[in-house]
Amino acid sequence: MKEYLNGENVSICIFFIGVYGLCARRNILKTIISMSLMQAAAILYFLSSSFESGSIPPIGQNLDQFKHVADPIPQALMITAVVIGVSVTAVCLTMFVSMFHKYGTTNWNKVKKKRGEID
Amino acid sequence: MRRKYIGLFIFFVGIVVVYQSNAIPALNVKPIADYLIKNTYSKTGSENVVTAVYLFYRYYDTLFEALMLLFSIIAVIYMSVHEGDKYDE
Amino acid sequence: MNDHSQLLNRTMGIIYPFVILFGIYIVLNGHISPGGGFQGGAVLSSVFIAKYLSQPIMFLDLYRIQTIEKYALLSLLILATLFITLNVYQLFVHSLVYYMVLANIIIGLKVACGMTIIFYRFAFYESR
Repeated sequence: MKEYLNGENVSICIFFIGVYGLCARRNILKTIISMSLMQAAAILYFLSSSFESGSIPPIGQNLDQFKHVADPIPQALMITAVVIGVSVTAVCLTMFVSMFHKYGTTNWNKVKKKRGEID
Repeated sequence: MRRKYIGLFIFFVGIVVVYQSNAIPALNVKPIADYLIKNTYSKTGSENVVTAVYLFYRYYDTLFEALMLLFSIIAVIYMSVHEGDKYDE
Repeated sequence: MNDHSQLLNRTMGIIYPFVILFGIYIVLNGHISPGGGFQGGAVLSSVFIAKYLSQPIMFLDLYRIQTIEKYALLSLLILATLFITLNVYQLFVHSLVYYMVLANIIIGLKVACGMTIIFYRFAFYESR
């Protein structure tokens, strides 16, 4: 049981929790939370996909004398993905606040109904 | 009731994905990582391999990420202007 | 956040220079230690969040900060094009180290400006 409790399986579970929040809930804030949860799961999957136990961080001058060195490429990709996730969440929340001031509800279906009345 | 069906469906899909993910054999040969670990300090003079990757080997990633941060800030500024604000430009 | 906490004010007044020093240390040592532009920029932007927590007043010109960020992106594009695409780094011996330090400084400035703008927009324009 303990060998199945690694980062990849945990990240897949977190990702499907986010998918459930996207599909089953109709609250806009919960949709945004689910999106950032799925993004965190993708980051965790990338970071733990090339994990080896006992590896050292890729910092130093003579790295090829060590046997296990952590893979630097997913870390360098995920540094940019973190900032992109922050900016996407910020834009989503700004649009949500504008929408809430216009329609006065946090439900997708009520927003759709009110938009149908106005237009 | 609808939530229960959706949750059950996504639970089984997640079980299948976890099973398939564990069925994939692990990668033992990582040629790009080996090349980077071996040659980064002698080629670029940077001890931190991650910095060398995102500033030298894959610098388009960093450039367009900076562009996307600027776009998101423009979006935040121009979507958060409401009528009757005292801080309006 | 209308009541001013005396304890928070005094603590933030002591902590400011250390947070700024720590952020500059992370940005400048990005090529030899864990860190870099993104992380150091996030630490530098936390200074303004602490400033808001102690004194919730608008003292920044956000338009000027956005202009700084635009010019930081332009200079980052020019720097990367000059050093890597046009192969200037092959002319000098250790020029890539200087390129990395400069690019880390610019990225740190850009990320700090961006996070500050996002936080102050949310704190002052969306909180009604």
